Amino acid sequence: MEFLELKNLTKIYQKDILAIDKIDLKIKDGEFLVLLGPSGCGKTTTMRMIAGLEDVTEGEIFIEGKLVNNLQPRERGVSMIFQSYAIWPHMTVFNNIAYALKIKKMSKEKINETVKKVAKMSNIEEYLNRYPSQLSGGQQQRVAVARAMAVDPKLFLMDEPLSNLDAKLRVSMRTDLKEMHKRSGATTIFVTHDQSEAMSLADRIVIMNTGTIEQIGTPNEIYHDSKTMFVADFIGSPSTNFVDVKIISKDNKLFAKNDAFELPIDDKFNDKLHGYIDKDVVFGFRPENLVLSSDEEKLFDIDVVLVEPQGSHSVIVGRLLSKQIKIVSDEVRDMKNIKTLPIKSNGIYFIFDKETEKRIC
Amino acid sequence: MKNKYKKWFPYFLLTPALLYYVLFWIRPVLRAFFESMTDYDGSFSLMFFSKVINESMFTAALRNSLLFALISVMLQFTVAFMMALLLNKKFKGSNLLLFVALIPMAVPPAAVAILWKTGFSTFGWINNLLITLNLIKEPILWMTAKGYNALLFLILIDTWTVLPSVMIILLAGLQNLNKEYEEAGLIFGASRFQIIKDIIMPILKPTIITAVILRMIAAMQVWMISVMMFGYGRVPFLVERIAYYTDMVPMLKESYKMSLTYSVVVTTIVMISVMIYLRVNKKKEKEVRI
Amino acid sequence: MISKNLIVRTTFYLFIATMLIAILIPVFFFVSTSVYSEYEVYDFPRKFLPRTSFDLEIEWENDQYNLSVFDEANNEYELLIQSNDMDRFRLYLKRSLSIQLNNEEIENDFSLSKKGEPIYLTYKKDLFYNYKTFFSITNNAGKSVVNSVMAAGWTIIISLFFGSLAGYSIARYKFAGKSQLSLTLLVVRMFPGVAIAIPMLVYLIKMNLDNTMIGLAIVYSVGNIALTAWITSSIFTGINIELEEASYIFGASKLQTFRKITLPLAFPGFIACSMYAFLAAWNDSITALILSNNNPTLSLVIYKAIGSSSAIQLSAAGAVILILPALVFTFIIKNYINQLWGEVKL
Repeated sequence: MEFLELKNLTKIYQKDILAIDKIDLKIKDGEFLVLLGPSGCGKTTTMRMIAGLEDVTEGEIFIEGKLVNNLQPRERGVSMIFQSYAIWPHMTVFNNIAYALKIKKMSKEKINETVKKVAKMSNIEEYLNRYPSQLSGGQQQRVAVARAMAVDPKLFLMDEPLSNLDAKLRVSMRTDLKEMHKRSGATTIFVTHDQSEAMSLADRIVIMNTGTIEQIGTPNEIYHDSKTMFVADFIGSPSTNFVDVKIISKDNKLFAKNDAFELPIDDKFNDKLHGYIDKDVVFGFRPENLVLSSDEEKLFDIDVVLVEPQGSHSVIVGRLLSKQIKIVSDEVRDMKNIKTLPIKSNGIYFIFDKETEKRIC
Repeated sequence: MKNKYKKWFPYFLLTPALLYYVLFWIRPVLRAFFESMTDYDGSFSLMFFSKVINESMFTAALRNSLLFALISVMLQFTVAFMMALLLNKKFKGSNLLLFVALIPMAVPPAAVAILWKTGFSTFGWINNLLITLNLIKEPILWMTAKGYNALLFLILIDTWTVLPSVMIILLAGLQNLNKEYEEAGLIFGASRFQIIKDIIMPILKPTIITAVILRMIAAMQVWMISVMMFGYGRVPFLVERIAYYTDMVPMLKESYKMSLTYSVVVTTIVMISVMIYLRVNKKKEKEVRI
Repeated sequence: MISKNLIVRTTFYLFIATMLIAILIPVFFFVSTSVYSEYEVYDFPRKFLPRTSFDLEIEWENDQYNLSVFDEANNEYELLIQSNDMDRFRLYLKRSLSIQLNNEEIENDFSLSKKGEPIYLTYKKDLFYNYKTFFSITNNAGKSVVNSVMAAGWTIIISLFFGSLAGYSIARYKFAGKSQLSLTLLVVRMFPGVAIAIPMLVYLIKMNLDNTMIGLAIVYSVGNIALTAWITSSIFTGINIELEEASYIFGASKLQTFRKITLPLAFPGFIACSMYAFLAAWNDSITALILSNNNPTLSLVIYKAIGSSSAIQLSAAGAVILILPALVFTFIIKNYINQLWGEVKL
């Protein structure tokens, strides 16, 4: 059975602003699920509805098979790490962690023991008597984690918990969170707009856009098997290059054709593309799937605009038919003497329907 | 040179205000202290202090002022805090409700007196309302209230008038509070009441202290509604005595000195009360920290 | 769960309802009183809404007119006066019922009853009768309104000038004694305002400022400069310093930056802030009594009117006028609560 299930979940603000539009989602016990999307896509609202901080307009939320729509947050067995950490400034670290336990009327010894345990796990033992204002951002973050762990929740909710940390700390906290999840095994929902965070943490990623779910899948599925143009565009850095082409048929062989090139399409796609012959579609090439080639094998030339060195590799920004194309290469270091580059496809590409923006194959 | 200028710039901006206070506050205050501690001929004497303390109305005035401050501040803080909590929520019509809640603030003391006099007079609208609603048969003679009843009366009228100004400070504090503090409380199992008691109030403490002290100072100096409702002498207050000497009997030889002596007494009492309040709060804070 | 929610909701709406009733009902009856005719003040028990007209019965009896008015509560006509002097009727209608008619009009209408049958008339009440009367019978009522505006204006100017300079300094600079400065507000308020006015009278007479509005404003500003400094410092703290720094980068001087960048940004807050100064001046009557008795403000005039307590409906009319401008300010300020008090802390 699923640990958490959202059925037809809808949120409407002020009678006419549709924030969440009929979402269905099932989460397995112990899973680390990341809600990913641009700001305003509804990911935080979804999480807040699961937490009980936001009323549900329509639809149902089940936790372990039990309808929780009308339960208070405290009756749902959830724990949360907030974006601002929300460490209460007037309580010491100890009291912050112990507060929830005191409310549960736990014995003093038990509280002490629990606080010590989670403080040790989060590496904040020596700060227990300090006030939040005396802690750095990273330390406050750990307190928030410890406080969330202390109540031994069935479900962890994390609302962009790393977004206020500096880049380096973010990466190390990421590892810590993942480790913590492995140890505790609690089901976790993590909201973020940072795709690399999502990729590295998630068992499964839910990509949201304007209140709906675009795709659910493992990080690899999301990247290598993007179902929509939005996902292909949003995931990956640099993002997918989209090229408008027309499907044409010559001697029972399909080609993608535009003013710059004519690319033969693998026969295995013939069935799926059957209805698209002589129609416009969109080709999506991941940057690493467009590679430098010799002049003989090339598919097309790009006009190089600039080269962004990244150390291990470079991102080459070029133009094809006045549209920007980005490719990744470890051969080109800078743009000395380079005006144009011959490019070919390595045979991996997405084909999207131009109207629905859904993947054809 | 540049550095020196920079160092003095903040003081330069403060100077006009400070000068103003020296001229128009410190000078009259010192004058008041001087007058209260001298005889008519200017020689040192505590005669007027003993005159004030032995005046027949003094004990009643002191008792009324302190009681008034104590009860009204507690009552006003509680209600204003509830109002602020309510108005901090966004709901349909909340903006309009806020305006309505602020209306009493716009009513000057002179108008407040008329407003309630039209209500509490024998044929006023309060009796009229009560009779129409069949709650009473005969008009109640409100204005004949005496002693503690009259004091309670004034406390209620004062509360009506000043609630918005207390509420406004608390509301600003609440609006600036990070909403996630409250939500964290909800998540970690606190009830609504526990959230207010354990989270909102302690975090809001500086704002609360500000609001309470400002109110305390004003409450201990209450006098006008008493005079407007009941006239001089019926429900005496400390500052009411000052007004009595300047408004009612300004021609008496001792009036000038009596009123200034009273003002020194009031200031001293207010100061002590504020200090006690601050001390009690500091102490509590220490206990919490341990 | 549902029932719990219901309780919360009910409490919520009950509280709102109580609040609305407690605030609006007194205000409603107060405004009603200001349009009552004298007759209505003593009409008891009476209808909630003030009358807009009177139903009168005129009977010709023994060479005299009997004037009766319909008493709504008892549902019958109540005899008011008997006379055939038209002047007397005219004055009575005016003073007791707020009905403004001249002798001919009254005589024309009344004479119809001479045929033997009583006649029934409905006269419109002049709703603004009390307002007009308040200004015509109260000495200097018109001048006092001008005075109040002047006193409030000067108080705003003085408080904003001295207060905002200090507030800016507190918000933007670190200096010794800064933390003690916020206590000034409290200390200043500890000495009763009335008591400041007493010795101040002597100084104002020396400066020839007694019985002037500037003199009054000087005293009103004492409490307000500290408050203004406190509040403006909160406003300035809320204005990102980088906006000012950007201005310096582009070559503006301190003064230019203050004038062109900081002030416009703080302006809405200033408007709200000046409300406190306005209210302090507009609402006061006792300081005015001490310092400007011969040149009174509206609030002082009303204060005295209540003291003489001749006709409560007239005082009420004056008081309504007193409230109106303050109400406008209150409406403005409600949008700035956050800026005004947000950063204020002791």
